[in-house]
Amino acid sequence: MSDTTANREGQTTLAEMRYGEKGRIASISSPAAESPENNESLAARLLELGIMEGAEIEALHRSPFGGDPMSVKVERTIIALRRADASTIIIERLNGN
Amino acid sequence: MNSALRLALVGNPNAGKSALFNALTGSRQKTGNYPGTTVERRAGRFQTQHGLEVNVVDLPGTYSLSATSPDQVVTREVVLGQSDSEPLPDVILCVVDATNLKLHLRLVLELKQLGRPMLIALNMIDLATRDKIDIDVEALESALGIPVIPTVAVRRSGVKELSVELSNHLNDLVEEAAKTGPAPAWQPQDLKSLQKEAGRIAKAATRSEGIEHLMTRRLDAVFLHKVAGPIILFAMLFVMFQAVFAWAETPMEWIDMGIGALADWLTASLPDNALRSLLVDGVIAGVGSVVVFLPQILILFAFILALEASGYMARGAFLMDRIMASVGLNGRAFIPLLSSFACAIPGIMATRTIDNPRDRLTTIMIAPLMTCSARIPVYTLLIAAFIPNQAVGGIFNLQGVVLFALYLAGIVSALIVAGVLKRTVTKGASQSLLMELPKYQLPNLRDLVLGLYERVKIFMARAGKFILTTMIVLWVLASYPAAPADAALPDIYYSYAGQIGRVLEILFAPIGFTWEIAISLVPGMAAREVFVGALGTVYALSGSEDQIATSLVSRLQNAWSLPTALAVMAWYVYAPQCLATLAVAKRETNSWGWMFFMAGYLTAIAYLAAGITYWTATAIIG
Ligand SMILES: Nc1nc2c(ncn2[C@@H]2O[C@H](COP(=O)(O)OP(=O)(O)OP(=O)(O)O)[C@@H](O)[C@H]2O)c(=O)[nH]1
Ligand SMILES: [Mg+2]
Repeated sequence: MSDTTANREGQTTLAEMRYGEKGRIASISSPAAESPENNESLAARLLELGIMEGAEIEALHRSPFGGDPMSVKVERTIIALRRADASTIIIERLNGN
Repeated sequence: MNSALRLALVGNPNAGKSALFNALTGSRQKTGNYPGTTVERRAGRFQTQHGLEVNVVDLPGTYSLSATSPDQVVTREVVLGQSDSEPLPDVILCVVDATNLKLHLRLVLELKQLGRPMLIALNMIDLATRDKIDIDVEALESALGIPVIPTVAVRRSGVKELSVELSNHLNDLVEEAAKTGPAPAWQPQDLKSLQKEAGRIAKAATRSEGIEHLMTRRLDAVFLHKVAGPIILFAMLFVMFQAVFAWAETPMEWIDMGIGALADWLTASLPDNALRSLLVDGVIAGVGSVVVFLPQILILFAFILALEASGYMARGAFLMDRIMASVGLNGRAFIPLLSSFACAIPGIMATRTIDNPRDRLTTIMIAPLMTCSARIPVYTLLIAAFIPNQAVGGIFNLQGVVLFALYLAGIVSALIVAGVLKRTVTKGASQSLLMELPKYQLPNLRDLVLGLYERVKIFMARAGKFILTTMIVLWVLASYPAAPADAALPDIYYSYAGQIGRVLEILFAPIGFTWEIAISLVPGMAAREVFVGALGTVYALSGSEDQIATSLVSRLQNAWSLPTALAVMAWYVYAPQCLATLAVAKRETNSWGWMFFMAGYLTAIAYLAAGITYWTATAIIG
């Protein structure tokens, strides 16, 4: 579960998911390029909205302009987030199609 | 005061705290179907059935006590008793959205750790019932160890039980509240484990998970659709601007006729003296020329209020986010900027929901570029006087198109300025867009009407006090000293106002402004619509006797050239003609420097834009 690479079988990042695809959040990675402080606050703010390991997530709409941002559904909350943030969220696919 | 119980409304954003506050206290705080409607604390009071006086405070919504944006910090400070302006509340009334129990219960658990007296309002029970969600209130109560009261904040019957139960519980809690010590100790909680516990409790207390609100899914499929989404957004904005013009026409004519009749009647029934001039040229010409615009402002607000209540606002933010991101703006800047179309003051206040200070500063700096409702009188007056009322491209009205272009000029300029600021003075990592998209709701007609009524009150109060006073002062300055006996020009030319205007003219003549415009800009600093009132007074006084009955529109047509009129419109897209906005910018940035920066850069652009417009138009028209 703590594996942060998205290449493992059955794993992907939230940014890669298409409309209607569902998954379970495996982990939230911290890309080294970003400053740790910023990343910590991102993780904290994701957590505030219920985006944390183990939560079920469904990818929904994408912006008409370049597909960024996207909307997702976590539990009963619909959340809009930008691709850069979505790509830090590692997903275990539930219905791979 | 000290005998009254202090109750604080705390909860996640959009849980219905302000709606509940309004229901309890009978006040009319702003509610809206998007997170971040309330950004500062608001106080009110009510009496329980047991005669207990309760002071209630409505707080900004917060996801967690660890949150860092300025609005959520307010909530944390009040709840922890660290606020300078608000004593520690005796009882916390935590408002929870019954349709999103798990997420909202986490804050309940976080608050519970404080060990303060607490009650829960399980709000939006109507929506939970609609979605067939069945919550076992007693199970929830015993799992949490906190009394839970189901409520529907937007229905009068929906808070009856709350007021009865609140009455009972508060009576019990008074003693407890009196006993508990001062500020509670608090340490940031492990949100993950709280979230898990909240999930367990929510699951155990939920008899039926219910069904998804399909309407929200279906509407999103349309409103966020790749093709339909942007088309609907722009169509909606365009209809709004056309409506501001088309629908308001008739009521504006009525008001105009009423004012004209009043002026005629006063002119006929009073002797020709200074008092008559003060009433007719000062008060009626000045205040009247602003009051005429009430229908337009109401139509604009009706649209904005309906959008806010429906849940579409956050979708607009979603659709526009790419453009915002491209100039380095925070996604959360959208709602403050959209609010600025009503007025930059609440818009600047709403930037408190942005937690990155540099992103917040950028947003504050560009908020005045959004065309606020006070510019409508200025634009409408000039458009009515100088832009022909004709169709273009078959369906559009040229006047509406020009108005739309003026709005667009403000928006585009704001984006450019934001881009420049982000590359220079407010450089730094930009926060992301992380925003809840609320479920759609049909706007409540009663709320809409009450919201509009509030606007009428504010508008009329401004016209009554503020504009009236300014107009009287202006009338005095424009009427004295009297003109010499052999005066060739209108009396006002020789007055104090005329003298000031001619000094200012030196500055403004290069961009095509007459001294009458220059003098009207000075009271127009107080608020933009005052400029229209001032023009009304100035031109009423410079008109000859037989012109009394002619409207301001035809007076301007005679007095100004088209390039001048266009230059004034361009000026008003940018000029920081509003002291209240500057004051709020000072307060919210906590810096005189940033306020002067804002005033300075806006004035510079205004001058340039007016000049370029004037010179170009003169060159083309000849
Ligand atoms: N159907 C229904 N709608 C509600 C209820 N309570 C509030 N609302 C609506 O939900 C939206 C949010 O209500 P607000 O009172 O503004 O929420 P808030 O908690 O003050 O939100 P913030 O100030 O953003 O934290 C508004 O559109 C209300 O009309 C309810 O019990 N039932
Ligand atoms: Mg509120």
